[in-house]
Amino acid sequence: MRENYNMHSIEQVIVIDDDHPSLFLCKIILEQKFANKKIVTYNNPLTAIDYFKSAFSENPIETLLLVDINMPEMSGWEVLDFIIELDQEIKKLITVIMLSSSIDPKDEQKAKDHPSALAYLEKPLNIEELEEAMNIG
Amino acid sequence: MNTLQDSEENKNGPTDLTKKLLLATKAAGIGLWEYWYKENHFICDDVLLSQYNLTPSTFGGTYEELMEYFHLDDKIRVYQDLKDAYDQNSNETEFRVIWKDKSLHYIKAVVIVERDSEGNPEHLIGTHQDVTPTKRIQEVIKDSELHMAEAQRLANIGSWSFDFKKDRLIWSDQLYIIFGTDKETFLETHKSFIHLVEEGDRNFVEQTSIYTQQTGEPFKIEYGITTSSGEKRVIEEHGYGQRDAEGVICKLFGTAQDITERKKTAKIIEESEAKYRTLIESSLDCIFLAVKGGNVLTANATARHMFQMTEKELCDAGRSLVDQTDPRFQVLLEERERTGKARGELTFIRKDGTRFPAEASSVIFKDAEGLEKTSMTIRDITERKLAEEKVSMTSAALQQTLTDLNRIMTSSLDIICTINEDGKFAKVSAASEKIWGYTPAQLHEKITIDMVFKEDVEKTMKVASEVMEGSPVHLFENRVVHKNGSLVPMLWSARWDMDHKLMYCIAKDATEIKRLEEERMKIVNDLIQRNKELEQFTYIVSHNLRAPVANIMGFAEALENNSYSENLKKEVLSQLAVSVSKLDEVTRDLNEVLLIKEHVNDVREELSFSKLVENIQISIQNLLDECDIKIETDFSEVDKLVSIKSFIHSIFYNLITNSIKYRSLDKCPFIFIKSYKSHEGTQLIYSDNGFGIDLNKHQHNIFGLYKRFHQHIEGKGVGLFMIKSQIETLGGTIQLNSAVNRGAVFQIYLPFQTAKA
Repeated sequence: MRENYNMHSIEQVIVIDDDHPSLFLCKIILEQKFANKKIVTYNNPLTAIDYFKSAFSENPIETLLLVDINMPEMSGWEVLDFIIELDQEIKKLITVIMLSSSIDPKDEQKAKDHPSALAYLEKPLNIEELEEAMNIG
Repeated sequence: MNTLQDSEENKNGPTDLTKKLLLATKAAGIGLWEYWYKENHFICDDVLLSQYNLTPSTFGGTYEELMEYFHLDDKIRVYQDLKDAYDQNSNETEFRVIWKDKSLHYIKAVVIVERDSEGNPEHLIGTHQDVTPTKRIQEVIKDSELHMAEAQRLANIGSWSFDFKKDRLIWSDQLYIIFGTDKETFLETHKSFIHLVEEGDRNFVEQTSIYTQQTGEPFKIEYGITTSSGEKRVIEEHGYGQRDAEGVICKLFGTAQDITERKKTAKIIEESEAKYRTLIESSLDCIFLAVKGGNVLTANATARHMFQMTEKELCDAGRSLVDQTDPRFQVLLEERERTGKARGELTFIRKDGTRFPAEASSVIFKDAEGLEKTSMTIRDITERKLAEEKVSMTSAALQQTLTDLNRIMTSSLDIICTINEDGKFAKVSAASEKIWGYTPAQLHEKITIDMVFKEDVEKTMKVASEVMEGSPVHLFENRVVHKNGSLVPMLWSARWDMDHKLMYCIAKDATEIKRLEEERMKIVNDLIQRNKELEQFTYIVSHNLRAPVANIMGFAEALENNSYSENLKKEVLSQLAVSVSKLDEVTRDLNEVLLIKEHVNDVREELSFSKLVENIQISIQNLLDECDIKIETDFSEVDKLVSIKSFIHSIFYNLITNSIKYRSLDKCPFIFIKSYKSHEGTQLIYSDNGFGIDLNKHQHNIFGLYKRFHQHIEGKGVGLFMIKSQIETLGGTIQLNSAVNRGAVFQIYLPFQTAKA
């Protein structure tokens, strides 16, 4: 999706996960790495979708999006399906990384095959792994 | 007592001549008597008394006493003759005297009447002469003559004598009858006799007569005559010449007999004999005539040919012609002895010792002499026997085939049947009774399609018409309605026979095959289910179990991070605790799910839906009150169920708590539960007016474990999975009809279960 990633060009980080402890953990880890950046967590993917549709579309910024896969009402894949439909200009600002507690290799494979997902990371979130994924990706 | 001697003395004494006469009469056996009317005086001499077997000492003296001895039949005649004597002065008579010893004697009597001067009878003188011997001889002669005539008449033999010197021919009466000639008109000459003889025979008759006149040799000739009435007769004549004292032949004597009838009979016999002989000789059967139990008398040409023997050899052979070791021979002999005839098959032996079977019939009869004879006819049945054997062999083979076929028809476990053009059963094998409950006889003429389950009739008809068009069918499946109403799955193979217009079918009971197939399908389905469960389990492990673990790992790492403030660390610890409890919860849920399988063998007991729901209501009364939810039930059709109590409780509990959890907030929430009787089970309809589930989106995983469909409400995603697992463990099914904000309707089917320990 993106040719070059620069951790430092990221202006905000959005995490979508229905699991509260997981969201909390992501937040404290990400706050350390992206100290001066905006960290937003969404417990409900639908709320996140609304954000992308409205505020984000009006004022798009360089965004790192971490999405959990297994959620009720809307799965991480569905979120991906939404992202891919966004305008190219907006879409190019979003770096999507799938973040899942699943250790099922099929999930990892599916993420790698998905054109909208940069990488697949196993929970718990680890900064070194994140940086590596972004640099390689 | 007066005697003649007395009278002599009393009457002035007899003269010398008188004395001499008296002596003579006495010597001649002539008895004398006298009677004087006037004096009524009777006298008689000893000779006369002896004729009555009397003596002077035993005689009373009156003529009446003597007349007592007269034969009763003669008395009146003797009186009459005596009366006649008065008129004629003398008379003769004869009468019979019966002595006291009952012997009969003939008396010839003469009486002379002497009259007085006025002419009145004064004195009777009579003689008695015993003529018994003469009388006897006369009777004998008379009898002989009568006998002779009678004999001639009976034998139809006449006698003749011919004085050829005087040309005088004397015939007996019978001879006139034989020659049919009148005694009055017959001239008693040789010529008149010859005239009656057939012209052709005359010369030879005359020659014979002349020869005998010359030689005296006896002769026996036969010749034909024509009677005066024109009738032809045959005469047999015997004759011989009689010689006079000088040895010269003077007369011919002879007899003649009418043998016309005998001749005719002989001719008839001869003819019929010839006829029978021809018949017998030309018969294709052997014919024997034999003395009973003895020699063969005659045997015909066929017999000679059949036994390859001459008639003499056959006659000598006798019973050795029959194979006497054949037990049927004795049986036949006994039967013939008992009933006079017998018929049966025997074995006979030819001259060369070879044997042949024959049908023999024999009859015992008496010939003219009263001799018991037997006739036997024999017909060679070798050919017939061979033919019979052939037929019997063919028939035996046929019988064997039939027996085999029959055995197949009776022992086949599949139904073998033929169906005719009209679609009726022609022949059905015995297995029909076991498979369909109908005996072959009950099915005969029954329309086959009537046996087929109505849902399968159409496809069966289609296949049947294809078969009749010439394409055989193999393993066609349909269902037949058993006599008891149950459905029997069948597998048919059928072929149409054009020549006999019959469909030959083999119908196999597919119940077992079906059962095995179903069992296999069930196993496959179970395996698929198991596999799905395993996949799900893997999924659960990789997601649900892994999620809190991942969090815990993350929090543990965070705690080691010294850059975090104490406050943040406190928050991390608190979140760690949440994740740990989550981990605990998931493991407990998993345990519960896995335990469902363990409950399979739990006790089935009778449950009451109404009671069950009531209990649940009581246990969650607070929750119900809080949400103001109404539960309505209708268990009027079915209230009782035999099942695993914990499962049914869990199903209702989960459904009700789900309904509470996902109740519509803008409607007055209610739940309606109703039970129905269903095919071999119970149907439950559970409905609520809650959120419902978007089936378009979640069709495939509504009953999956840890599947949650609502973001705003905390659900574990275990309830529906549990319900489905429990229902399926009970052999039932669950279906959901729902739409967003339209509530949910669950249709649950539970098959009947039997209570078991």
